[in-house]
Amino acid sequence: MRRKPYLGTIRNEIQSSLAYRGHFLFSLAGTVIYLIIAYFLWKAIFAASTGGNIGGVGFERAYLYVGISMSLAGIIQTSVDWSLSRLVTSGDIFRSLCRPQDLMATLFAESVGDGLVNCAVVGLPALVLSFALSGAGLPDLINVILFIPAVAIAFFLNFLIDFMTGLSVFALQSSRGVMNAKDSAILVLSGALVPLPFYPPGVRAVLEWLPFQALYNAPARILADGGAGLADALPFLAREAAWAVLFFILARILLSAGQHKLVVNGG
Amino acid sequence: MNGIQIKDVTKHYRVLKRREGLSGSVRDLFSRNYSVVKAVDGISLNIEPGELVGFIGPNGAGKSTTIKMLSGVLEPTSGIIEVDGFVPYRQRRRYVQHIGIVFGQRTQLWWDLAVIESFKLLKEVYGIDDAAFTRNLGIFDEIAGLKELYGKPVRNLSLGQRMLCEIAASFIHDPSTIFLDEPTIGLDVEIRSKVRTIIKELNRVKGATVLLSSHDVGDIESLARRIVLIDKGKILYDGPTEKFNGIFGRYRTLRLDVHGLSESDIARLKAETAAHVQKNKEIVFGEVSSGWLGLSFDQDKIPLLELLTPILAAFAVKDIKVEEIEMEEVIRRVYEGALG
Repeated sequence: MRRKPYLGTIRNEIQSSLAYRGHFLFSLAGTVIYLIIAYFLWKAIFAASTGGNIGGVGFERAYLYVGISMSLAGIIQTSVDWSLSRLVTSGDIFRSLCRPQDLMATLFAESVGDGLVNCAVVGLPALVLSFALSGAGLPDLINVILFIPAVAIAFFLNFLIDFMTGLSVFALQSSRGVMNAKDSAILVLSGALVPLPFYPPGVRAVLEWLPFQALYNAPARILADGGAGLADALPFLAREAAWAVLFFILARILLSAGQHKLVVNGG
Repeated sequence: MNGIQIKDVTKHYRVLKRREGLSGSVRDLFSRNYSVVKAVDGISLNIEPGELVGFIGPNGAGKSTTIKMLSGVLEPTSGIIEVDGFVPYRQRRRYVQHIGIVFGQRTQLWWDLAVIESFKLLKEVYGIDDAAFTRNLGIFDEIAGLKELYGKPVRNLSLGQRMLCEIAASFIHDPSTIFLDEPTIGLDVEIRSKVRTIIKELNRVKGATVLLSSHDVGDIESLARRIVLIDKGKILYDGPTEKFNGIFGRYRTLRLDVHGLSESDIARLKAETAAHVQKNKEIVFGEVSSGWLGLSFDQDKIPLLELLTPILAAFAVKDIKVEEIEMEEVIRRVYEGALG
């Protein structure tokens, strides 16, 4: 596979994103407002708790989980489910199909372009703000280093989940229902809304083996729970990677099945 | 280089027959009625390398479906398609390197970026070398003066300017075959002739095989030496444009603004005009639509003035228009044996 066209796609996507300045301003403002609201919300929850901690988790750590998850959302969310399903329903998918490019690789390149911009403009500032508001100290260097592959795999995994969600349009003509189901599942099961440490131990043990926690809980845990380093992070990274490999294979199978069913809509 | 071969190709779609109204939509959730639409119903066609062939027919005739099958996007239900030795839908990735496509209703350029950025990405996608890329940009500028558009974002181009860029983009990787699906749709007369020029010149300079679809007879007449007429998924005529032109080029549609006339006036107008040209029954009245009455006639047999003068003398017609024959009229006459 020639890589140059995909690098070009990433570059074009970055340029396209940068064409709309206002977009960043509002995304960043939205994230900041969420972080501030979450701050007061969790402050209030912990103020009402006995001894300033809930289930052995203190405010600093709880807020870091929430803040990191919010920052991650800014980085890894691809909206590929929407764009793929729109490409199919509008018929614009022909554009990728009549070029010597792979559909999945092209969409991934576009997502990477978007992701890089979002990371710089929304994700990183949100991370810094989360640490500042939580009152926790700076994370250890080793955890910051391990956080990077964790985010990269989470990004890829999330892309694959979104991509497969979008592919459901081939079978259903509209993927909106599947998209909503997926969004809800991720919100609840990944630890993005309520950090995983707050779940009952039994539920938590199950969730830690599901792919959803790899998106938010795993990177958040690696960055927020300082000290443990590589030995602690490795099982999480390995599970993330295993899901990514599995989903990659599944996505390729679904894609080739879907392309046979394809009807390009419109004149 | 062996051109395009299409043999006994069909494409059937399964279409959900939707029930009417809200209750119908609810019932559709539980039980569904499908019907089969034969969009393309057994067509065969051979096109030589370098040929420019016009593909015409009314909306829904199967032109776009055929072009989608030729470009490898759709798989035919049955039959054989071969373009330059490739079976399009089976060898899609390798095949599309050799073809260029424009769908008039869609854009293949990046909406938010300057035209030149799209061209540069296409250069990388197709692996075009620098020399060929620069040479082609030069050719586009020479033929259509595209240079001034290169720096503009695609979303700020007019439809006509965008179409010129789309067509140029489809030629950028020196493909051996180009499919243009309704490239002039929605364009006004002036830009339409510019689009025709760029197609004609690029075909001449590049020597690529071009299949051009349109529901505008004028497009085909001015571009293609050979014309393929299609309706309801079947080929009605495949032959030289001159013959087609010789028969349909003479027909005109005269439109009369009859806003001020009563129904009985219009009936009287029809009757008197018909009586007037009775000796050769070559005029056909259409229905009155939004205040205009259309009638088509063969201008070799009935001079326009001879037809018009008595009408204008007796009736308060506010305005007139003379147009080329419409697609529907062509189809009707072909069925009646005009090309036989």
